[in-house]
Amino acid sequence: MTVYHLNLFNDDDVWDEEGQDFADLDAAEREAVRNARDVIAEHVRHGMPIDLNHRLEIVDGDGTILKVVRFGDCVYFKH
Amino acid sequence: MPSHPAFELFVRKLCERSRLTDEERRAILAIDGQEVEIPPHRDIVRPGEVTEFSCLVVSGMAARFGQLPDGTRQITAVYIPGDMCDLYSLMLPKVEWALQALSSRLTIIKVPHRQLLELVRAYPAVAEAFWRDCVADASILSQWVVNVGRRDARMRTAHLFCEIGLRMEKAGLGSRTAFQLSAIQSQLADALGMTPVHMNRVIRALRQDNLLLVQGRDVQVPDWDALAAVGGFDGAYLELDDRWRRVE
Repeated sequence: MTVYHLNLFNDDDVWDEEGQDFADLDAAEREAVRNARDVIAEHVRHGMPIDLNHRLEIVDGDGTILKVVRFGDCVYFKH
Repeated sequence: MPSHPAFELFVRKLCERSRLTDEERRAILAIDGQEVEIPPHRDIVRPGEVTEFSCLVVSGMAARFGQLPDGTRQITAVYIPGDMCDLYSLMLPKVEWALQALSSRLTIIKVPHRQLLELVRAYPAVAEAFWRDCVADASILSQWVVNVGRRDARMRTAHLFCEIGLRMEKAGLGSRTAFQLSAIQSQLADALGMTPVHMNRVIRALRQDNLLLVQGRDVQVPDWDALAAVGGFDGAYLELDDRWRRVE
């Protein structure tokens, strides 16, 4: 297990100081998508705008960015 | 032999809701059990396991949870020192929900069901007190369902911190405005029905409003009334009406 931190860059920047254990980076990415969708859902519930460029960054213990998950990669729209 | 402080705390909690005579109190304090230290995050009782004991929290915190086949958990109760987590298991030793240690070192006393059964058969008022304790547990659970089902993220977070603070204060473990919460962020998120990132965002927003400061395990609530207002928190459900403290 490795500790990864999921930092949120949304209308406010929220640093994940504690981090969480994940089996690998793929598992951390799946969790990042799930977390981003949860934040987006709360925005939807409150009628707040969703900026598709807002993002979650997955970083390791040294602060190195390993993956970026954009809100736009987590939701799909049909017109 | 002096009784264990955790049992003293348990009896004190029972007596907030039930009127017990000295003899009845002494009978509860005379129970003994096996003191066990549970490593962080470890399950104490697994889903579907048949238990022969109930767990009295000595130090640290425990949680009740339900689990989906993919391993996702929802925490449905948090237990603090002096709480007999699964008193209901005395009547129902096999349930599909279970108990886990929250992050810090948890110490519990495993209290054999056999001893508890002997006690309630000898003292009907103790049986009533235990029953009322289970009602209190259900009362909290009922609030939690409303919390995760109907309150938004900010409200439900405020509500949970108000409840735990008030319970810690009653147990003499800090105050409602300053206490320690032994849970890592993923566990807290499991209790709130949110993802950790979302929860961190909410806690940060509450911090910016100077309502809630969470630093590691230390929780501070600068303005408790304001936080209670945000959460729509009314602690009456923790009290139960003491007019019914003893059924004559």
